[in-house]
Amino acid sequence: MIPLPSGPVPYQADAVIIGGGVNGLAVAYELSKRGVKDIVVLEKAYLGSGSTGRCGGGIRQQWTTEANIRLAQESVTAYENLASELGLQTFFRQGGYLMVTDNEAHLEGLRKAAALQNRCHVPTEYLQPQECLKIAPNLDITNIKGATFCPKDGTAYPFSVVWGYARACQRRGVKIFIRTELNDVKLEGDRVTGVSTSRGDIATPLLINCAGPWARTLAAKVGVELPNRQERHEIMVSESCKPFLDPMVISISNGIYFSQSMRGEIVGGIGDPDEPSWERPDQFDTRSQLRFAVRFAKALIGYYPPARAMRMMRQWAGMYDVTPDHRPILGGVEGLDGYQHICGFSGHGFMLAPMAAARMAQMITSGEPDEIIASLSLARFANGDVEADAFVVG
Amino acid sequence: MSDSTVTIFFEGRAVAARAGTSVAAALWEHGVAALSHSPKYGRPRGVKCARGHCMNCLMRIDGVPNVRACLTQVADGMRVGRQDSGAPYGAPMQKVLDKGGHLFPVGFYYKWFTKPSALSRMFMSGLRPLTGVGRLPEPAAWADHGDTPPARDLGHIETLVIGAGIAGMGEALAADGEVMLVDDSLRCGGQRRAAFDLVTESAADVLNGLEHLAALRARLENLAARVEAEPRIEVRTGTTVVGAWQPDMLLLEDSEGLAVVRARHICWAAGALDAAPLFDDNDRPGLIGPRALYRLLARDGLDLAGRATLVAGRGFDAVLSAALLHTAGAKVTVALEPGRTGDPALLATANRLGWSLHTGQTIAAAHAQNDRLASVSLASTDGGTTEVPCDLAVIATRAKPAYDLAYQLGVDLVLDPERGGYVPRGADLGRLETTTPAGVGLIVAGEAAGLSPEALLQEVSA
Amino acid sequence: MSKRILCTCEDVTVEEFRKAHHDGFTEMESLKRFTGVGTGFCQGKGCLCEAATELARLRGIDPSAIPLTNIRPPTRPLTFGELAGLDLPPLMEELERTAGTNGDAEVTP
Repeated sequence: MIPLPSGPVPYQADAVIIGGGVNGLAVAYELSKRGVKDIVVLEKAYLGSGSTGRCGGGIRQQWTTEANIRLAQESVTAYENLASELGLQTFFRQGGYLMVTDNEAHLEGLRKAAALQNRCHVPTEYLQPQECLKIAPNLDITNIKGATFCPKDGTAYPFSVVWGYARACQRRGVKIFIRTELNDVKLEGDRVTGVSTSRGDIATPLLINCAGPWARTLAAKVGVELPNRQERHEIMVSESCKPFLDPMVISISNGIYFSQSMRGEIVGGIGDPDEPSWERPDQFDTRSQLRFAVRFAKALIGYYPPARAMRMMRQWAGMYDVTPDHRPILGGVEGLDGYQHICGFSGHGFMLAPMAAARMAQMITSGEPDEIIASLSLARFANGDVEADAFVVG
Repeated sequence: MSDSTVTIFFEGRAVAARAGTSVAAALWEHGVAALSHSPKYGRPRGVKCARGHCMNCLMRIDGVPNVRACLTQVADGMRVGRQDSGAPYGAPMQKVLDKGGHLFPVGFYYKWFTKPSALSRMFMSGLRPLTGVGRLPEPAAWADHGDTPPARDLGHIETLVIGAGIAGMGEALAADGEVMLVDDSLRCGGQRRAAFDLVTESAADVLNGLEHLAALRARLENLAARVEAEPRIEVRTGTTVVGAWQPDMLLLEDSEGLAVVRARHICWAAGALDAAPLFDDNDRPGLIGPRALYRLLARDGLDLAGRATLVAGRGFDAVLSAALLHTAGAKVTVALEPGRTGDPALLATANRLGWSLHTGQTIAAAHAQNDRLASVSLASTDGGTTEVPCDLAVIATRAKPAYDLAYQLGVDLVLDPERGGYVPRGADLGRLETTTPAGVGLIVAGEAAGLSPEALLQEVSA
Repeated sequence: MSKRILCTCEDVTVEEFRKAHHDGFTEMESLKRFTGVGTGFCQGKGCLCEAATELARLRGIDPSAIPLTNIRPPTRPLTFGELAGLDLPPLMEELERTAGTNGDAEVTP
């Protein structure tokens, strides 16, 4: 794996990537695969320490906009082959996503979404409450009004994905510096020329912002204002039990999601309408809240009553980097050379990383425009070209 | 401890047990030392902390998985069983893992069979049934339970002291205003006072000549009497603090369930945890620490009459353990660590009571037979080894200061192996007093602040 | 086979921990996730000090230089049934207003 750095950073590089999470490492890997030689990844703490290592590891294709469905679909294909590509198990397991609702008013939306997903060749089925029991035995269906299920959705272990990309990067000569902070970005006119870090300066023609919840602060260093807000979201794991639950269960009526990990634990979280959000890193508050534990426990028992007699082990929080339409920001900025975004995933960075990285690397190395990246550019907010997704959960 | 007996069913077999004892103690007396098997290697594991911290005694009890047998009292008709770690491939595969450990390097499940994707998928699906411990609870444990009983809100108090040992009782007496004093043992005075209770008048001669133990006992009795007579101190025994979330709010758990309390001043005086020294087969059933011994004897009334026992380590917890084992009618061997040889009173006591005493010894290995401890190998400083047959070995090396709640309350902790583990930065004199950013007064005191039992004892004598 | 068990919950031996360090997992944060040390039922009560002390030895540095990893609440596993019982309206309102204490050094600057 990546040991602690023993010396200064190189004085020059073809690309500098900020952020040792799944997106930073994935794009470093994809760039090196496409022939970019001297790549440096900077991580201020340890790999996966930001949002990646705190996420629930879910990967789903059940979305309500065609662009989101296509992005997720490509990522699922990537995850199906990622262990073999990277040479490290990712613990990717396609137990499916069971998306339920207690609210009659959501049913029409679920049906429409399933139909749209089917048109995109995602094998989602619409289910009656009773049918959910075949997918998730012991589920309490008393309040469930309807559900959709896609058997190809699944979960993976975020840390092994991060380590897999890091090892593959290392084999290709990418230099990864953990415990190394970015201090400043050097600009000459309208182009990025280098960065200064806690381990020295690097001259570079290309800076990629994969800083997750810190992306907004980094963008400000090059004079770009991102419309992102940073929200705290909490998550927990239970004691471990023998396999009892195959799918990720996710409710669009109360925002709970839970699955059983490859260690046997229930991993899950629940969105909180009163969750605070911030714009500055010095305001971030990732401390654990009892309020979360209580709300989650209550909602979990509501859908999965055996949990009444099972135990919560620990809870933690992470930051979502949320954009106004809950979709990522990819690509560069008009009038600024040598600067690219891979951020703003709004809580879905882990599931979209392989696709975002491959497309970005292809666009950067070939110089050819990419339709999906273009639709996710920062400029869309200024142009008012925004299509929000209805299935934002957790 | 009641004299009446109840019948529990261990894997279908009726086992008579004293009412009031724990499942773990009842099974040990019945000859069952291995309460669980470890998740990867399927190694037998027995009761270790006797305090609900570790997973050694997680069993399926009355249809609920992962229940701590050390904290669960026996009840008539109770169904108790070991959980099937390693299922469905079971014990044979784990034996292969245990014996051929070098063939299964750390993290092998990350590295093996990654290519091609189809093989990776097969490996993952084959691995999944192996994961997890215990099966889902039976419907009787969760179905048709109606509304969840509400937790209690104990409101706002002036001072909460966690731990009713010497340090905690001292802090409670010194605090201004109303104090709530909580302890997870069943007596004010903590586990050592409960342990001393076992040395009744008929057995009191065991302490003859061991002045430091007698002084400790007198100090505990004196403090406990003052605390119990103090109307502004509310003592809650059998109460565990299970977490701190908000700046001033803690969650307590007792026999009635959870309760929330907020305090303006919080004192962490939870003592220490038994150490876990690293020697060959240090996980064998029958290896415990002194604190676990106190609980098993005082709380569960564990019957050790005629058993061969070993106490290895140092300090007064080693001597107190030996005295208790002697009182319980066990055969006692004491092995003192190198550099801990010079106490003539202990030598005299050992002679007088017929203990076998070895000095300058450290534990080199434990040996098991039929899934329970059979003997312990001691290594002396001159290179010789001695094998001591025993059913139970009490390892009384330097204990670890309790630290988890201190961390959650915002105390800055630093690793100091000389003082047993994580200690509050700046608590060089065995006490730390500070105010959290939220304005809550915080004290860490006693062994939790890194004070050794010996230093605690010196304070007692002074 | 005789083993020196560092972490009983996750069945990690001292040798396996050393091997993981040799593989480049040089910090507790990654060692913990790779080997499982400290992530089991006991939440590190049985092994965290021992593992961190061993890491200091492996790296040849003073133990005080090994940062403590987060100790997340609760300090003991609690059933979801018990936790749901805390859903008392005045308490939940109070919890909304107050901040947590369980500091998280890796993210909070």
